[in-house]
Amino acid sequence: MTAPTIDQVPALELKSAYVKFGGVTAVNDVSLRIPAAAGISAIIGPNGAGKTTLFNVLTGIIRPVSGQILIAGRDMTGRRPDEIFRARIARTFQGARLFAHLSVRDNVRLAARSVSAPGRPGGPSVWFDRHGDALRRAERALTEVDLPHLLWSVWPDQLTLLQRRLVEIARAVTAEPVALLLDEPAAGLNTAEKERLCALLVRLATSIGCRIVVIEHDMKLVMSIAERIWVMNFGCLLSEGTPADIRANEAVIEAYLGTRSHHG
Amino acid sequence: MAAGSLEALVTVQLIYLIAALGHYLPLSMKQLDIGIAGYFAIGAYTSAYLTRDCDMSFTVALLAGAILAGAGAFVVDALATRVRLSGFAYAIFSLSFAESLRIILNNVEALGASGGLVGIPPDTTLPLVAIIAAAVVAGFWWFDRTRLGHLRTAIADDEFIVPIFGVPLVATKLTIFAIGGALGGLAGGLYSHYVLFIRPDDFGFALLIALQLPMVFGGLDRFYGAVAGMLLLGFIPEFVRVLAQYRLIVMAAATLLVLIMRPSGLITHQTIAWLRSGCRRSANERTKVGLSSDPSS
Amino acid sequence: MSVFLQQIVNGLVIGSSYALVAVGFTLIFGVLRIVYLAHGAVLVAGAYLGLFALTWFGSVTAALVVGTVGSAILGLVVEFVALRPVRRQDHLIALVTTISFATIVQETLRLTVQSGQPISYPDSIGSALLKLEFGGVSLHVTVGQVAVIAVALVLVVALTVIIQRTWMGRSIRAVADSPLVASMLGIRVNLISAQTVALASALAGAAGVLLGLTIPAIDPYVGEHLQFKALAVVLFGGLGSIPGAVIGGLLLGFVETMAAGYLASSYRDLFAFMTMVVILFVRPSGLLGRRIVERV
Repeated sequence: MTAPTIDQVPALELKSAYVKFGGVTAVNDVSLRIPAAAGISAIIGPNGAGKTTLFNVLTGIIRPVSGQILIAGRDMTGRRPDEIFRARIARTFQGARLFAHLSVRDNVRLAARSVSAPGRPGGPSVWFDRHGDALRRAERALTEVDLPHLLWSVWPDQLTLLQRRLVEIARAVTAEPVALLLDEPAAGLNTAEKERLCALLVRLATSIGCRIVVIEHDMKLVMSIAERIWVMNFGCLLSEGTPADIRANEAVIEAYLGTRSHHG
Repeated sequence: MAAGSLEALVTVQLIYLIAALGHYLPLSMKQLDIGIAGYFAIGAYTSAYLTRDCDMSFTVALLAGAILAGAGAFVVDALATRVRLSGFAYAIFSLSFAESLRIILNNVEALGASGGLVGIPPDTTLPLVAIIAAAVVAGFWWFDRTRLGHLRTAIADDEFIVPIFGVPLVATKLTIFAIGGALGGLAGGLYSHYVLFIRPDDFGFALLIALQLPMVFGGLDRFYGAVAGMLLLGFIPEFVRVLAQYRLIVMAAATLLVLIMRPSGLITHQTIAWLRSGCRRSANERTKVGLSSDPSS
Repeated sequence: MSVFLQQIVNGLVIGSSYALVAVGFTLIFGVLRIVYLAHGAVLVAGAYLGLFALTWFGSVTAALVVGTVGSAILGLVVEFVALRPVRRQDHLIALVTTISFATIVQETLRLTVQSGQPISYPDSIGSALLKLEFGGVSLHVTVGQVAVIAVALVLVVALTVIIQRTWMGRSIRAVADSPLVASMLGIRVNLISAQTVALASALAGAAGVLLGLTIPAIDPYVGEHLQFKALAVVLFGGLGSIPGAVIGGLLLGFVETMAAGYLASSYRDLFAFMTMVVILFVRPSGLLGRRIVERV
């Protein structure tokens, strides 16, 4: 895995973003650059630090009060989520939000269509799928995440949590993303499942050639797969650096882990 | 046609089934478009006027009624979406449309006003209705498997994330609503050419109840539930002679009871999966394991 | 001139009954925050109960008491049967359960009382005609019509006092503002719901009896009809706003009466629905109410 070089245009960049909900500042002057080079980064921080809100801003679901969002150098602030998706920034949600009454294949196919659709983006051509192009993309994505073919016709409520997460990732992957934002993908999984997920993410980053950014609470997991970590608390970016940097960082330790520093 | 005869019962219930399925489309997407009686009325009056006073063929009149009703649904829902009405307000708005239409019809002399429209040519027959109803049900089965059908399911499941995948949410919803309204109009046209005499008061709240309650009773999860509900609550009280005048009360009581105990209605997709096959279910149970015993990993 | 004044009085009478029904209705919407369409059924039940009371006891007061109390009890039944079990479900379910309940009530009345044919209140003091004269103008009103205005006034004032001054009223207002916060402060939301529905239903029952005293005949469907009008009034005045409901009710009463006097009376009902449509477009939160438009 190559370390990101400074002169590469970042896949996704946030400049001085502010997000306010009523009286609460959820994201407070956060700037970060998500590199384009393949690999894995992570965002960590206590609950309520604003991590998911950050994802929401990056994917156009929430409009920041001020600040800029740049995708591959282009200003995409205030663009709709589907435009961001077509700009090859994909994400998953906490808890694995799949469409409950569609099969696994159809769940993924729904997303695949908008990327391959000719004609005006977001127009009625999305209602048709000539040449089965979306289906091929969907099946390719499902293969990519290693989901057994047997499960492709099954409905989400018959899958395990890990399998649902995989489907969600496959759905995101149909955009052939440059950046893949995963919101707590390992939450609720047991150790063996987490290992499998990590192996997949590492492999996925290189095979698709994208930068994966995970929000995670499992420190061991984060330290083992992420090359670069951002730490957030109270809506602010506390620190960023390599795992070693973060481990040694006093402010992080105090904010996130309490004043005890028994996490080595 | 002898009113009250078995044939009349079946025909009218099948017509209601078609209209109800039209109503099912917005309902399943959690859109409380309850102006369905209005779309039914548009279809009934338009087609009747065209065959009776304009000498058009039945087919053309039916289609015209359906298209006009679909357009009506489109307009009503487009307006409501434009103003971003919440669920309840949406319901009231669509209801006001249907009721206003009814009151206006009560005053339009060319359409018989409150006295009603008589002398409608008896073009509807049971075989015709049965074929159309079967076609609509089959059409729904097919629709669920098309792209637009998938979108409907997705919107019904989780409207929030659908736009993220590049789907034009509003255009899609409005199109589906229009299709629903058109089905209601089609049913209305069949209705007026069967009962041969229609009055604006026929298309009031009672009609809405007859169309909506059985569907919610049957379950909105899959359209099979709506069909089952319409058949159960529509047909059974009719056939058991002694229950005839208790029809509405039976319908209401049954719906109330079912909803209290099982808010999702009688039939959900789990019921269907259970009914379908035990073997396919247990096969999935076997694959429903994590890493440790996953043979294909 | 006296014709005009007579119209004003008629408008006041009709408007008062609209206001009476709408006040309870808007209270339910404001506090329960669900779609509730059993109000009309409660009203018509009250009307029929009043009819029986008047027949047996011969006194209008008894009719009012029986109608009011009976409807309040019926309202509690609605709360327990049609609302409580589905409180946590989608709004559509509450819509359907309340409609179902209303249908059951209406059908029961239809099947048990004169096969649903219109039935009149027996002659009573309510139909006694009063002649009022002042300044050379003479007005004819029945005692019943005066009763409508008086009782509506008294009940609306009483309700307002309850809401503003009593502990129960404070709890109701708290729940109307935020059920979550209210429950965290130890207020039992279910209990408040029941109380609200009972209060509102009492008003509806009274309105039903008053209706029976003033119109030629009642049938099982008058409640449904009035409910629609009340809905228009509630939307106009704003969901949850009692003053709004009063203003809206009186206004609608006046407008309908004037229009019926000078336009075709068959269009009279249209005003209510047109009002609803216009309101939803121009100012969905109504005159004084909470926003019901979702600004995403």
